[in-house]
Amino acid sequence: MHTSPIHTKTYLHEALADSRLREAVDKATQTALKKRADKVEQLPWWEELRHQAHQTKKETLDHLDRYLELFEENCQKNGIVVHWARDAEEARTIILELMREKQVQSVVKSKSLTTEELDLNHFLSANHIESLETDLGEYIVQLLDQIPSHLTAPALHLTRVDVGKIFHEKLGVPYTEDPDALLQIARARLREKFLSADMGISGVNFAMAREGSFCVVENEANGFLTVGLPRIHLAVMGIEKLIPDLASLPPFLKLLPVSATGQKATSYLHIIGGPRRASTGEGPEEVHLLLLDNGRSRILADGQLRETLCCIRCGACLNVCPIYQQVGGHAYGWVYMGPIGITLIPQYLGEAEGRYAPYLSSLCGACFEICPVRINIPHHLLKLRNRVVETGNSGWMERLAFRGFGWLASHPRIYRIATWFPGKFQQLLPGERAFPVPGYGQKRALGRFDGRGFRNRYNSWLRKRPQTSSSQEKEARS
Amino acid sequence: MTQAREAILARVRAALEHPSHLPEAPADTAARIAAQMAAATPADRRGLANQFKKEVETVSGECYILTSADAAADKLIELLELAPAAKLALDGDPLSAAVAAKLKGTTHFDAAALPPEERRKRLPPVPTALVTADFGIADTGTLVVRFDAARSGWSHVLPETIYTLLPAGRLLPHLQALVERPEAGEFRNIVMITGPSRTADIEKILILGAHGPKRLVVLIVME
Repeated sequence: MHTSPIHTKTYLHEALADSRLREAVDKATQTALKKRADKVEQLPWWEELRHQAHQTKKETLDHLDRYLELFEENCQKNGIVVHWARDAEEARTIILELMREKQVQSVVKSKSLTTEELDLNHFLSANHIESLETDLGEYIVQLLDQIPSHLTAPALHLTRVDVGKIFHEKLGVPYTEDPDALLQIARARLREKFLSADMGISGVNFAMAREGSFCVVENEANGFLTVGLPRIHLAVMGIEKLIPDLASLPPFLKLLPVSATGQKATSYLHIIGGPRRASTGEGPEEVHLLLLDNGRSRILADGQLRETLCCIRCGACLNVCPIYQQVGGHAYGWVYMGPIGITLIPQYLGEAEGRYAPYLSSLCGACFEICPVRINIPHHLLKLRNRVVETGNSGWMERLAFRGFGWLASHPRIYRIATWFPGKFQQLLPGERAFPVPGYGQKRALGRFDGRGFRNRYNSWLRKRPQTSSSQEKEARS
Repeated sequence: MTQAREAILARVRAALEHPSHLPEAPADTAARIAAQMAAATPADRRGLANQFKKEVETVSGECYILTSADAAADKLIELLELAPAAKLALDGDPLSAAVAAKLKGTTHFDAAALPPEERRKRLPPVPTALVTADFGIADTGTLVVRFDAARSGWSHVLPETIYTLLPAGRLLPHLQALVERPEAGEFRNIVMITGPSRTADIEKILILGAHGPKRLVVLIVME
């Protein structure tokens, strides 16, 4: 598939026509929401945790230069090699040079959205380096050459029947739709790769500036094997993932698993603070950390939209979003999807490429209510929509329509005639048919105009209104 | 690289010249969290052990509260009769070794005594390990294993069944208590484990034993 928002309209049409997709997405999102709600109920200080996490992110982002320097200094003290990349291309170059220098032939990866920004698997494959996703969901979508359709559940759009067929076709194993059997197939294949890979690549959930360490959360233990077994570890991290110190971490480790999967704690949490110690001999000989900007500093420059960098990638806003529930993740056309995705797409890719994204929302506010770090997504979407218009990236029909409406609305007499006309004209249509509206009317019926108009109906209501209130007022006065 | 570093830092500094409009949290947030967490914390070690057991069982782990290392060994014998293990991998912790010494009819080997390369080869096929955790976090049923200690952390994850010993004195009420410990500044490489490994990536159906252990048994030793 093309991973570009310019295909958004096509993807949306395809997704809306796919009832099987809607069923899969609905089942997964409703399950996740229910599990989350159960756990939130067990934490009476949930709202305070949300405030605290937001405050920690605010503190870090508002002083990001200072924390970046402190983090780099402490990583180096711990023996972590720090690399910096301005954009995706520079990041790919650094990674390839590192791999060539260290003679890396094969890579195992644990789930990382930041590496999806780099389209790393395709890049490595083009450079003859085997790169294998090890999270079960990521492994499945990699077999299909797709990107994840959810921030935390990459194969959420697929059913067990789909996965059974994919394994049968791509891996040549007998067809089964038993999830346990499918897992065992993936486990057996990947265990060999963990033991033989030269490098493990992970993302970073949080990085602690004062300690010079970072953490990775996961459930499958694939992260443990990715970090622990290969001789070199590379972590790719967006510069916004910093928090001041280890003491700031606990609230996030409560909020993230509850919001993402309805767990009180993830099955595995790794804190990585350098290469292996001589005392155990376990862990990588070298740890490299790539700090990626790729548009984040541009987002930081807007004092309001800066808040979108607080995201901890839990995916809760996707689960609760009425739009995401209808179309799934691929319709958004990029690495980040759902409510947080549509704030990030135009900011990362520019208003021209991401012009549709901010409109994929009903602005119902559910995303803000559920966000564990209190990102006011609807508020930011309004600003981003405004930017799309101000930068001249709205469609010419939309511009024309709003200009026309603006003119009409400021000329009441002409407005009255213009709104009277369709109701009358409609009577010429046979039967009970409504006006045909290209595009909109293909899959849904447009209601018929009342013929009387709001103004007439309102005036008529005023006339017929029982006189109780005014007569009561008169009585009271007398 | 220096060029990229300087360029990114310059961009960040320029961005930060724009004032932040991010709202502030209410001033008493931290105090309110602390008060509510304190109210929810069990008063004594037995209470923490009970809370830990409840939480570990919620995430499909098993947990037994035992009075002494001898009682832990007896419990292990009983468990191993139900699920025999011809060979146990040990993590090099003295407590694991002491309990293993009391087991009859089971051979064991100390993974920490093997060179790392040998350990990589020998640990994965071994179905069962007997290990000891550095800390336990009661409010989530989490085991904490430090890789900086002189023992094998791999043996906590590579085998399919893990028996973990947890002295009750190492139980902490919550994660905050761990990161506030005086030695927390020295923590470098840590893994925290909550229940057996799992996935729900296919139709949100929970399956245990993804890439790590399928069964996790915690033996809390009160003595």
